[in-house]
Amino acid sequence: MASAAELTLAVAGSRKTQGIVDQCANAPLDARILILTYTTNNQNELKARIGTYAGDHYGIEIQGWFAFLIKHIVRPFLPFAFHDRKLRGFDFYTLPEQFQRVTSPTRYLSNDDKVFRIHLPQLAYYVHEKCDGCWLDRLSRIYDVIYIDEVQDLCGYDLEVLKILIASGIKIRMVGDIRQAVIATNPQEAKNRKYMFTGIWTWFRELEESGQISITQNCETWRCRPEIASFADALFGPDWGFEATVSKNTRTSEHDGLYLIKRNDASEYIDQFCPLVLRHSANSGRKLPYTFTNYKESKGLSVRRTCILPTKPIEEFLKGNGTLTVQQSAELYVAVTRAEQSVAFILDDCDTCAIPYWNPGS
Amino acid sequence: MIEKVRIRGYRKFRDVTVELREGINIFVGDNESGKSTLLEALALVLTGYVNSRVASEELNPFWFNTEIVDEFFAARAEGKKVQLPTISIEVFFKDDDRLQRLRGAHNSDLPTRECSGIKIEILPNNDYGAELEAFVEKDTELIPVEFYKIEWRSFADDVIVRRPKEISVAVIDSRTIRTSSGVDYYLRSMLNDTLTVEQRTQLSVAYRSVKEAMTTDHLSQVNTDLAALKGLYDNAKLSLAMDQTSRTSWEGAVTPHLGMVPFGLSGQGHQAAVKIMLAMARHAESARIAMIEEPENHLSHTSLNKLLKAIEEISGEDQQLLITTHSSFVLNRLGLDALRLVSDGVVAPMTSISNDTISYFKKLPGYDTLRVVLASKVVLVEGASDEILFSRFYRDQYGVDPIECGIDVICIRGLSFKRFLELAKVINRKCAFLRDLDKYTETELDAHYANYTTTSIKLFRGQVQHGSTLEPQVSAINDEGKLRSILGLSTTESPIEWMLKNKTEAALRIAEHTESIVAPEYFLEAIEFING
Repeated sequence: MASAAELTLAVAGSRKTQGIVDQCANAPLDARILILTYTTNNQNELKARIGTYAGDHYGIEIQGWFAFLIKHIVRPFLPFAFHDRKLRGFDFYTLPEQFQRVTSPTRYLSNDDKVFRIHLPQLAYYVHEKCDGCWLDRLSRIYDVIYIDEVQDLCGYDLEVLKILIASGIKIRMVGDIRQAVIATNPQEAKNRKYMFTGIWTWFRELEESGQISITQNCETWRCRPEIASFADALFGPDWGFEATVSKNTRTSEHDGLYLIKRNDASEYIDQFCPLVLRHSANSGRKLPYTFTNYKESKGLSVRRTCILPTKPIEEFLKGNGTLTVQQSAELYVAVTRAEQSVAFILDDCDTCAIPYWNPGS
Repeated sequence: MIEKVRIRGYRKFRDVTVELREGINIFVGDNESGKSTLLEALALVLTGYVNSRVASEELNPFWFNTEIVDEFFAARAEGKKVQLPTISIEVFFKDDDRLQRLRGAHNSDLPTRECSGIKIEILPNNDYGAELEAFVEKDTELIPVEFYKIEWRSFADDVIVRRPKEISVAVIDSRTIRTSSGVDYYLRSMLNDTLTVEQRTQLSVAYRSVKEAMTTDHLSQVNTDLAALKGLYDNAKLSLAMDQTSRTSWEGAVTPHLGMVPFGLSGQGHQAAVKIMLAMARHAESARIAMIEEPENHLSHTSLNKLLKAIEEISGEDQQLLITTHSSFVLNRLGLDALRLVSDGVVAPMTSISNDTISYFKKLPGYDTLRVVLASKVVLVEGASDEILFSRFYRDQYGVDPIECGIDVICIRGLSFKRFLELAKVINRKCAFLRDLDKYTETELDAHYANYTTTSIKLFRGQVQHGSTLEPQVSAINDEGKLRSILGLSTTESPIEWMLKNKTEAALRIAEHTESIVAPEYFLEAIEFING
């Protein structure tokens, strides 16, 4: 029996989000569909695409993960946890209330009934326990299917809620890319810390082993050329169990593949090819005059070319002198896989490296 | 289907919970008992409208329960800082796939319970704390509603801004016409609920193109002339076009007709009938509730019969009906089991009347069951002469007619006695019933009614030695000559024989005569019992 919950693990450029949009467009006109994702950017992207491809489906709702926790679990059933309390707002900034007991409303709610973002998933889980899971019955009768895009962003108590959703029998379709796990809904949460970021892969494989979800891997990228795809693949060793990426990009241009750029040539290179220039964070490459985008923030973008300013560990890795942590690998994976045709690293003194230098005027 | 309604602080209702059943619910009660208020409160929470107007525009100080308001001002006068009165109306629905979005735990049930429902709360607006307190300080006995807010939410704690489409409410009130066209908010939403999406779309598209044609075909000449006007600002041309805003949609331009007569000009009975027809035709995608106020108004007996037939049909189709009535006919026809008694803001629990009795009154709907229901005390007798004499003997005792003491003396045929007694029993009405012995002995008659007598329902009968009916009972204990003179008989006539031949006339003559007359013992006992 196929499980009601399915995870599609998709590589960068495999049109993950478009896959959801296409399934929605092909659904019956009166299908009641809920699409969840964590980041506002992705919600907007989904709204725009659903509006373009499935604008005739009026039963599709796109919601942020936190809005979902509020709307379908916490808000309706809060009195089971705290009698006579109502939710009247959202508090982004309050720090973890670690000295407040799990059973105390002060852990989750401000005096004026705003829910603390940091403890919202835990509150959802607490309400779930107190209301005997009745929100699941309600949810299952409102929607036919629930999609979760960028599922790897979930962490902490989100995973407890997700586990309950998966076990409920509600049709759940999850899409994500473990290798791009650079954002988390709640990085300060201690619960399920080992499953945060790329660690969620272990969590999913445990669920697969116990038969609760089925996992399919979508390894075709429509974006990255084969050289780029195989470089990105190599960032994660075979132990991860990810299938090799198959590139469907057979387009050629005057400048394809991976290159190293000497610092002194960088300006000329950028002028000539107009790549998206990427850096780790605002503190990287402060003396350089280029318009940068941070690695993490480039997530979701698709560009013809990128030029990457490596971090120290990445420099060493490129030179063959060291290995990257999982988190560093994921960040580099995101940066590399933005490009369709070419990826360049700004790096001096690496003549032994497998990646060739670009020659100005060539 | 609505499972129950809880109303707190609204008009007559201090705090009342009314459980409803599937199909038909009939609310009966005296004038001012609160039965119309109950429907009004339901319409308010289900539609956000009161009397066809948006609640926030209609809100007034008299919505608040007077007892609560008086208590509030009394407490404030004593210096107690109690909070201002509030109103809360909650509707609890039975589990229903269509109503899942309204499901949650934000209701007043204890222990905490989740179900589908909606509630409306009328509360002091905390933003105006200072204004509220300043107002209350003044010498007033009115609630400052201008500083109140109306919160309309589902049990999931989501704000509701218009009637949820999952619920379709038909309010059918034949008492008054509210607008000149006769089309009020409720009728318009019923019309809307009756048409399919396709029909509505088609109408809206067609109406738009009619308006466009009006602009291009008929206004063009006018516009040419207007364009010639000189001296306009910036030389912009003035032209006329049809208003295309939603304010002028087809819904505002059509009005129902009955035959050739516009709806608003049709008879009120007909209007009610049409509304009920429309209520029947609503689509089943939503939970359907119809509220009908006094369907008997403005209708002839024959028309009422047809209307009741229609109502019975609606109730068979997964629609919930709430009806108020003053008519025993309506009550009997639609089923006595649907009876809900409302008195002074209190709604009695559901009754359990045997199917036998329900169908008995359905077949013989002329019986005045409502008199039993509405009287505070009932005396059942089996003939006109018993009724007349009971009142006479009562007056002899207390100087007033029984009705002035809330005692209704009802004359019914022998066979339906048990039916009425069953009714009196389930609604817990104090009841004395007087029966002739006829061919029975005292013990036989007592045994016959044993199942119907309780501490508050009691049988009174004569003694065999005094005769089998009322007339011999009276003649047995009164002097023959005195009777003859009261009845105005000649000396050759026998009072007992004359009385038996002219029962009602005899009773009338006795009732009107000033001469005192001895009442049979069982009458006196009945009078004492019913008055006690």
